[in-house]
Amino acid sequence: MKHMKTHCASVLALLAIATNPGLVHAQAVRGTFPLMDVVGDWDPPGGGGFPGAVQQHEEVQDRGAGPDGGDFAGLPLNEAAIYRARAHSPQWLTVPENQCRLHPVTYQQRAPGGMSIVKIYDPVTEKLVAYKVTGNYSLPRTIWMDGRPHPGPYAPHTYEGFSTGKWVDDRLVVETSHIKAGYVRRNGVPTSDLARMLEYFVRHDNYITINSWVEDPIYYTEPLFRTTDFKAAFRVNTQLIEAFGGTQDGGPGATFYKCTGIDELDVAVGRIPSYLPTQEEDESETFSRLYDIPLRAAFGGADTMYPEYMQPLRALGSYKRGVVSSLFANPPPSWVQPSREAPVAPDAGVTTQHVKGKVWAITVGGQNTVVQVGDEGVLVVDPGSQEHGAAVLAEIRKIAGNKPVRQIIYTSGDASRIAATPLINTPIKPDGQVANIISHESVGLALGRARAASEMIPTDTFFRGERAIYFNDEPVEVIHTPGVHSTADVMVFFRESGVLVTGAVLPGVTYPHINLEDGGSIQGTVDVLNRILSITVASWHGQGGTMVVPGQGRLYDEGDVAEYREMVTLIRDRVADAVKKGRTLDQVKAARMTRDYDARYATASGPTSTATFTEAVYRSLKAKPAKAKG
Amino acid sequence: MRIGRRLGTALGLLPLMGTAWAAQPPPPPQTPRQAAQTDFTGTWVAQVNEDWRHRMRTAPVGDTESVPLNAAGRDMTKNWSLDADNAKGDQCKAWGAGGIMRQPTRVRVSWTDDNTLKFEMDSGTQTREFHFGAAQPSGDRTLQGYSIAQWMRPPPAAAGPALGQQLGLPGRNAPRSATPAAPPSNQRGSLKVTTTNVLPGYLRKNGVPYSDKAVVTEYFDRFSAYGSDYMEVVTVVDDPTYLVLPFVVSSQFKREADDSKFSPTPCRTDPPVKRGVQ
Repeated sequence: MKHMKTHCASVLALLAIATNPGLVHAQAVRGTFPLMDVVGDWDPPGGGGFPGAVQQHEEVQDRGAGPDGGDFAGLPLNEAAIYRARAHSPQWLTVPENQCRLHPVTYQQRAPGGMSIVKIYDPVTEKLVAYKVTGNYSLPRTIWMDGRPHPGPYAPHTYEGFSTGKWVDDRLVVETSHIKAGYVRRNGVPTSDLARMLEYFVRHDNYITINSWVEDPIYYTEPLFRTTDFKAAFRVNTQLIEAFGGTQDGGPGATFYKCTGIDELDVAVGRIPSYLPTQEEDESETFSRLYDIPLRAAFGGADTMYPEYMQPLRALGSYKRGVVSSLFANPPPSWVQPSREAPVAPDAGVTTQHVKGKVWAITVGGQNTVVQVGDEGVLVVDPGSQEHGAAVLAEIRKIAGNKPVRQIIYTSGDASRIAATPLINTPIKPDGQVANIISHESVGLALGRARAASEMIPTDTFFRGERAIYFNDEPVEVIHTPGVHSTADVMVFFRESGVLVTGAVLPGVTYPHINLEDGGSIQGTVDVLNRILSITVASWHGQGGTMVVPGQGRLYDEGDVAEYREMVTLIRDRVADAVKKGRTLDQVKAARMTRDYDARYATASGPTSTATFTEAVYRSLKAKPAKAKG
Repeated sequence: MRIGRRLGTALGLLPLMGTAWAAQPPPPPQTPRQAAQTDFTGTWVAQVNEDWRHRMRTAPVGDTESVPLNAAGRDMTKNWSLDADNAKGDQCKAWGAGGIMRQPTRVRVSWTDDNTLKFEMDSGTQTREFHFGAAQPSGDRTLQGYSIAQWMRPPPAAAGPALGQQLGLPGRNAPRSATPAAPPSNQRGSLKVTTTNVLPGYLRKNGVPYSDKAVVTEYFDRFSAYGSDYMEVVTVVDDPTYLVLPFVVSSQFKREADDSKFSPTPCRTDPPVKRGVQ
């Protein structure tokens, strides 16, 4: 009966519409109403077929075969971004960790091909949960529509980022955070891991335009606003590949395979192809030379995208060789980053997150403590500073309840990592046992000499390369990693969980602390980072898989470590080149060879400041013949 | 049986209901200016971060990259001569309706009257007028052609009373106000502009052509992002003479506080660059 009533009302409504000329007219007006969903298959404006078609109607080089080196014109880049982009070599893609990377979300819509957007509904409530965007040689991207918040500050980043959306009138507004460092153009124009993105998806008749702003406090002087157009694909696609211009028999759209990086070039492990600051002629001038554009203009900056730049552009005249060094010696005013709020506010809060398997990360004041929990009890890596000890202990109790702390591992002897031990290492009832403390032997010796509290003294030390225990049904490897911060440094690898805890050798949020007095060197640092990458295995296109907990800050995976390794390696190569050319320390400092990374990794003072880090790199390379690049 | 009777009664009442609605006084009509759900007025500056070498410089002769030209279009481009244009007084062909929004320019937007939105461009000193609700008059073709505009989101009055009100159902059928209960956002709906009656012009400064048969369809939107206001226009040029399919580009503008930087200049095309400088 109820159903009959419903049907009856529907019939009435339809008849009312059909018999009411005014309403029919209103519906006709509504025929142009643009409130249409974004779902469907979308082609570039020129169509979905690759061979011979003019697919993209703007930015065709960037979005098609690939942009020329040095084509940064019209981008609001600061000096750091231009310096870094200029160092980019196309051979960068041969690095095994880079081979499987698909495009980051900051570039995704610009890539060749089309996209497919589908809706995900909750099967129970039937409410819209998310949109899923697939295509453009990028990772499938989820836009959450269910009101969930963005993850916390220490959550992992991904190439696709974390996106939430909402409909505001007839636009889908999407905010994306937690994006890995990447690029906005395939010739190396960078984005940092602090970049975020805002998008408006707008439909007009049979077109959809994605208006996107990339905001990056590290590399852009103002948000980069770009628009990307697609048109509805009026055909039936029965396989995902067909939506991207490919064919079922494996045409050019067939990119979404499980990928594994391979050795493409016979070069040293960890080599990062790049152009050095002292190379006057390089790939970055291709665009400038090919189209007779002054290098100053080709290198971009916010001023180059506004109409008033026409005048200086005319005055600059033609392409000229050999101006790279003078440009970087005297950067134009538009390349100077305006002062903004600090990119990362100091976080005094407490964050606990499940990493993987049996492993949890507790971050207090930015410093990471790691906890493994199982039937045998609790294993703690780096209990933390005395100041934060109580907070760490409280978090351990939330995770592990009353399970006893039976194992403690020190990744170094730094007070900031171990001083909270007496708070955590309390006698276990009813037998009064205390935890077994594992460290490199040198930590034990140092604490003994310092007459540290007995609860802090390691009970299980080693002096060879590795120590392994089996705890909570999991092999736990303690790996000695000297050569960076101290001879006492170790990493901890939870084999079953797939989590590597690096301690100080990979600080995550700052430059590495290269302690020359305790055996540290830039080469040792690069070696340790390469070793980390030999342990990690990405699960899917360069990310996920083995998770890495750095000494500080957010969780890493292989992609993040590769990015950090790239930073350290490029700086090593630049300074090594300068040392080879006989430059003094003052000259190297004056050349500001770390300028593309300073805003992200330099601290205001201390061992990870620009000056001290640069000096450590220089002195460690000067101490012995500079190691040849690669 | 009871349902059948109810349905019959309801069907019998339908013509009366339609008549009753038609008899209601229509809400006062809004002018396009009043109905505007996006306020484009103000001064906007182009952000040329896409196709930079085609927009800030004059690309090499014959460079038709990414424009879906047919053979006739390609031939036109290969044979383009800046000197010939200048000699003929055709300096402004790249500032016609099909190409002007790609120029590095400032745009000053204002209402000429309640039915006409005016876009003034300082580059090339050009003015475009977007006419709402008017049929295209016959007349000479012009560089900017004749533009008919419409808000893609219809004004509330056009949508008519709610269905429940039309059906006389109880509850939630209060008369609908011509003015939305909440003040309209100034960036809610797109503006669609269709331009015809154009003179031949250039899609790009280096002589990439469109003909007088071209139809230029544009969609304007306004957005807020990271503390600034932006305008974006999607331009679709459909030209049976020189294009094999519609040419689609989108251009970005940022709002400025005032028009102090709006500085009209004549059409000026720099000489095309030469490829492969050594």
